[in-house]
Amino acid sequence: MNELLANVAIGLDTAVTPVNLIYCFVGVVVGMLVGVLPGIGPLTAISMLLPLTYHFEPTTALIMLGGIWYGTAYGGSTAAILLNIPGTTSSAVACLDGYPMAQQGRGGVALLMTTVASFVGASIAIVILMAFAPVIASYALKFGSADYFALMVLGLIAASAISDGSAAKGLAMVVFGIILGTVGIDIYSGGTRFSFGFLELANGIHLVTLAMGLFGVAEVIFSVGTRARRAIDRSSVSLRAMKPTREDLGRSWRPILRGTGLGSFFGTLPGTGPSIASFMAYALEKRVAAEPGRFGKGAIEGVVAPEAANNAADQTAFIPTLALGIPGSATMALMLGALTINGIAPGPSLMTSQPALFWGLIMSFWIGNLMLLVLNIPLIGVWVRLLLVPYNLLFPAILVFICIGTYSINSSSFDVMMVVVFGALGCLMRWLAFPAAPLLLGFVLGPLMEEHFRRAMLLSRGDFMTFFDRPISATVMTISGLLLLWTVVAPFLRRRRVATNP
Amino acid sequence: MTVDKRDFLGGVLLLLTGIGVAVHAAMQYPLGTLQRMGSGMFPFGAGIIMALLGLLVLIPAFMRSEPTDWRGVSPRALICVLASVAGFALVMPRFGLAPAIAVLVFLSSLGDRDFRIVNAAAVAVVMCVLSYLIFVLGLNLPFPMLRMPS
Repeated sequence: MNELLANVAIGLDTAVTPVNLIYCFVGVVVGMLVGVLPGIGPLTAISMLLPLTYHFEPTTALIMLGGIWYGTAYGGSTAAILLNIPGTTSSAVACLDGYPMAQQGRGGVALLMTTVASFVGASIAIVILMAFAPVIASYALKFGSADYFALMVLGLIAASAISDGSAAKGLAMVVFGIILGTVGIDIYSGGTRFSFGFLELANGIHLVTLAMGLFGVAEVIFSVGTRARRAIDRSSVSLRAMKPTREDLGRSWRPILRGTGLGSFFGTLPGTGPSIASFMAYALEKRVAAEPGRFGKGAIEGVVAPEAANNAADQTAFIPTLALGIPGSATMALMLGALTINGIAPGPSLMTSQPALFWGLIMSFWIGNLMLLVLNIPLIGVWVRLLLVPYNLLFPAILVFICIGTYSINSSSFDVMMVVVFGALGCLMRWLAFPAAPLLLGFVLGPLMEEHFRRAMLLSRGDFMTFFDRPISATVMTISGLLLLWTVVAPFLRRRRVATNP
Repeated sequence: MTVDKRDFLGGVLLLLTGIGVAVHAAMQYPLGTLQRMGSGMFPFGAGIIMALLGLLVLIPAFMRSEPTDWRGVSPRALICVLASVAGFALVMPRFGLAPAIAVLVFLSSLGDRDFRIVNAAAVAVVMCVLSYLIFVLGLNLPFPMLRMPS
């Protein structure tokens, strides 16, 4: 307990320095903005700001990127409730009952209650993060290379299999990402791979150029010309219209807690994350409700539970990322990338070797969530006005940030050209319905996987059975195998079922 | 028999890329042994797995008809946006930040059907000012706003 308090003190010490407070603020504001604006997701926003982290202390960089990540969850619900367009995928559920509430003139109540739900969900999840991350990390210190490799295999299979669309395509993109990760100098032999004569590729493909191309440029190209303006009922967002009734509060607190529980659990698993957590929370509320018929017509339970769930999941997603060094989603992979860019090795030793960074980041989550709570409510009018900015003015501005950001890393035009290449690749992938997030995950984990794989094979004298001899890796590999089998077999079973009962 | 053209194309591309990577790795880089792997072994294995996954995408495509949700992309947006980013890359080191932003904003705005030159000019000016404030003053990046090519 004393140790925890000491850690909290270290964390607060780091988090409340003026620089960190400012960038925490910048992060949550950008996050809210991005969450509100449809057409830019958290991945795009974090990719856009990733190059800035070269010019910051690693702690400050992570605090800012973290702020964007959980800030989007707050902002996303605003667009969903007022306009029926989800700013982010995880807030899509907020449309179901939030928009009907706005149509009934109760949009203000919905916004206030989601803000409260988000804050409660995030706060509880932060406590869980503080309690479990150190335990998991101290356990993970005993892991060998074989165990690490097995965990990464499981993480990648889960992330690609559970994501929407075809599992084979997701897995193929993971492998493609791993291949892109091998470009550059091989740390064991010193030989250069897949550089095709480009000196610039000797140090490998830049995470920033890949992320900017896949999530920035490709996103813009697919959004140009598809956004239409919509009208908003302004009267429902005045401060007076926000006061929830006693009945609203009574109906909300249990769903908030249930949503937080679900979200905290699903946030830690690879591949699930906030979107699935919010859908599950909505489904659960509908099932336990006394009158399920109210759902879809403006039931407040259907708004607060998913919002609590996705904010909780946003926080607990940091558990595997920080405690094991294994990100469960593409966004967490970018966070990890921000660490490695700054020369910090992620993994279970992070907490002991960089206590100020780890605890400072966690304490900044509290501060950031408080800022969001304060910001969200009085500034809703501003967010609403922002929603009315036409996309044809917005997207050139997004491109400017992408280009300057990329160029600022090395003052290199080659890097910007790589963004063009990956932008084209991202468009091809979208057109063919290949998911981009698993590719990024594979790219970040690829070099670590190769290192652990080669080390494990060296230690076992070339015997593949090493992955099944150790209890941890054997268990994890078995789960991975079952999951893989299930994802390959499940579509065929589904088809047969459709065929037999038409 | 009907074929899902999208997955057919996707599967073929995966198969070819996978085989290409595996062949390149095996020919150009030392494979080594399983105990002491050379730099080619890991990409070689990854290439083969990618090719196999390509087959897993390709084969079911023959049992399906066309997908209903084939998302189209506007060729105009594609060309203008990619060209604008490439334009930035070419102009930035030679002429400085302001001309590069102007090229980027004008070319990319052309990708939208309702392009208006006044709007594009306004965005270009605002972005020049913002970039100067954020990147040059705020972050101290050594970018000249305007330079003469030497």
